[in-house]
Amino acid sequence: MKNHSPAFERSLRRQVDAAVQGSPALRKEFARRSHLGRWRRVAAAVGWVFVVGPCWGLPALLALEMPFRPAGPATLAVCLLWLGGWFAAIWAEAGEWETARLPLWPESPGGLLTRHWARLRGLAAYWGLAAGGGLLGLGGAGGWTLPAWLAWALSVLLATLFFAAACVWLALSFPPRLRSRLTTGIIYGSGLLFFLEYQAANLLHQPDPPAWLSPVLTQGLRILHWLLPTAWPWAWLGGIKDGAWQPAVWLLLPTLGVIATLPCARRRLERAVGRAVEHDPITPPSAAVAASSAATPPRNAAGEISVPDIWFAGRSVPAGWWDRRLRHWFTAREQALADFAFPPGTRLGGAWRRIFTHAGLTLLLGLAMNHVSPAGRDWVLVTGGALVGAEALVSVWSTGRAFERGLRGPLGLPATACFPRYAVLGIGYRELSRMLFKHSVIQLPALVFLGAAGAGLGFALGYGDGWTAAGWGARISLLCFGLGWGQRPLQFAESNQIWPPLFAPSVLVALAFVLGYCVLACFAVITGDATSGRWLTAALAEAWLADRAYGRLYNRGFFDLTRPAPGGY
Amino acid sequence: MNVELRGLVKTWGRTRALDNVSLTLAPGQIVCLLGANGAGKTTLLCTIHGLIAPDAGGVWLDGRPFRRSDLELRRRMFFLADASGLFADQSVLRNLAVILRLYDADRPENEARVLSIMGELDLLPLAREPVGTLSRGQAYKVGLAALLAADPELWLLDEPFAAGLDPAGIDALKRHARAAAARGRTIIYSTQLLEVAERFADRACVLHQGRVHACDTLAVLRERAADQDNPLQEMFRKLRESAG
Repeated sequence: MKNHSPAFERSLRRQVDAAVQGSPALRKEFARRSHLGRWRRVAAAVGWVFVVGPCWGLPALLALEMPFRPAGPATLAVCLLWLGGWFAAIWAEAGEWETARLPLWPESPGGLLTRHWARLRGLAAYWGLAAGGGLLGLGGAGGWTLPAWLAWALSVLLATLFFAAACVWLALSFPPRLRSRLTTGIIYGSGLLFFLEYQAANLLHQPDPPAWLSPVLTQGLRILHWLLPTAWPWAWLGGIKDGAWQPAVWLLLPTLGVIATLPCARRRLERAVGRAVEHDPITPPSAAVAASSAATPPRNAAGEISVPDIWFAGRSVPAGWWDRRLRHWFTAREQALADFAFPPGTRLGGAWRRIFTHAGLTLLLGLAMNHVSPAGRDWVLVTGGALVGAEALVSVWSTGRAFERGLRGPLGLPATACFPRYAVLGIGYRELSRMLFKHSVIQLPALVFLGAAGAGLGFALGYGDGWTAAGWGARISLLCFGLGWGQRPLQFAESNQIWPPLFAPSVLVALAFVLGYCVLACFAVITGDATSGRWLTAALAEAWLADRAYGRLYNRGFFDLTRPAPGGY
Repeated sequence: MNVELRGLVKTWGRTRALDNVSLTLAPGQIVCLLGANGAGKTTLLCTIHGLIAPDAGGVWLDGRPFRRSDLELRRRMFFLADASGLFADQSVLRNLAVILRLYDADRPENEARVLSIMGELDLLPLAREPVGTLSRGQAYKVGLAALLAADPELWLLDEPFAAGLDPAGIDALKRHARAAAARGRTIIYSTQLLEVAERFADRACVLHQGRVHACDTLAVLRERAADQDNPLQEMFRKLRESAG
């Protein structure tokens, strides 16, 4: 089923084209729109490739690595990254579609279910193709036989079906509360259980496991293999390597199970829609009135909002002890600026809480590494790293909200401060930049999280020394900080600041440069290459230069959208 | 479509957004809802559409009690709030096709009408553009085009004259609304613009703190008012004074 009639749309398109071609004025307007839209379409298409590109590149790199190392933790990391991103993307899309739009239109819950499926299957198929295509490289390098290829293809097909169905199920079951925290919790929880499972497996393969423990562990592992998505890639690869079909069977049953429970989800949706209709305050009048009166800034005699008065726009000041301590570092004006830039207030303590919540598990796993076998360390850290990677991947999609500002920390914070917005308010670049820098530094603990991920990758590549891993963590932290600041101007580039035909190519070239640099620098830093210091220095220097150059343009009013356009366009 | 509201009550926390609202709106009328911010206009529109369930009272459409699960009745009404019901990543044509499918109006005999409406609203050159790339007014026109093409019996419009429509769009909206009313359609819209309400409504309903303060034809409202030229202005002034 489609959500629309392709024949109707096709016929309408033909008639629209004929009408446009028949009128010179429409033709001219159409050409103007198409000209602008062409670059937008190119940017969107190429941008998407850039976003997903690393997904395709990693398997290729792994495939290159395969002749030298058997498929191991790094392969699993990629699988986890794919599955996490895949899952979160589809789920976020499902939630966005369900909660925002469909209730407006006349459709029953059963119809919503069908339309969900019609909407999501394309996205699910894309990820299926990405996973299948990317791992072709692995198969090629691993010398798979025809049965192994077929088993893999069937597994990917079923995995696609399973994830799409599961996402529809979740979207239908929890429509008002589709939040990334639950996704994150599922991914982390599954990762933790996988770690426990792996440790149990290690115990099982000890020379002399206790006789009473062996059957318990065997049964327990079998159940866990069925239950844990994070365990499936491992099992698939292990099975497929031998040309076995068990992975497909494992997938088939949960897929059928999810599909069988979709009617239950539909009933849940009916109840949820009923609750939403009963209690959803679309426009709570009292809140709207209160907000409008609180947000009214004082005006001068002429009735205009003066620049200093903008600070009175009803910002909430965090009242926690930790927030008050942190805010001592900011001047009064910087505090006001921070409150204005990050409404409804800086809430630095809240950011730390989020950071520690997310970093805690990784750190605990890191500490536990000292007590696990060397092989286990790889798995632990790679699992953590892959989970971070999955979240990082989701963060770049507009529909994914897995990474919030506090979690992204220094890497993501610059992205949330929209400089052009303030260019007309008479705020100096230097004070704005200084405030951002302080705000970023305060959130430095987030780098522990990124550092642990880097350390995980390092362990996966065979560097098992704790100090070395700590060094990686520090270097990766600095690298992320530098890259975060360095790419800031790129994130704020807007088409009305650059001549439109040059906009897309210039941004894409810059993006390609940044991405290429990121990949090379990360590899150099992670592998402990002798040139890693230079890469780091270059990243920080680039950040400094970009900051200076952007500031210069800013202070010259280059981003003031009220000024006359250069070149008269 | 005959719309009957019986004792509608809706509270948000301690605020009564709708306080015992009872109205009967006959087919073929253009009704405007007036009121200060927070008076309950949008809540009333959402309640009629079924997006909000009232705490008490009910909505009867053509003599039938309305429930959200009644798809047949829901297909006979169209709520145009803003562009939030559209699919930003899909083209104008695809949006129209999807919405018309939902209203079972994507029939071949409807194509000429859709084309004519698109031409009237200057949407032809934008037909292949994703809605997310359009301006606010253009996006609203897409929703309006869907409404006009679906030709529902009950139009519910939330602040249509403050949605960024250009003069041509406003003119088209008014013209189509009058024609639809002449065909027996019921049009209910909210606005803050008293000048618009005085010229483009058969009845004006003034809401104040969730209650219907007045709901009558403009001629009757004019008769009641001391200021014959600005009856609505006078009414609003009195309401503010009484609230103060």
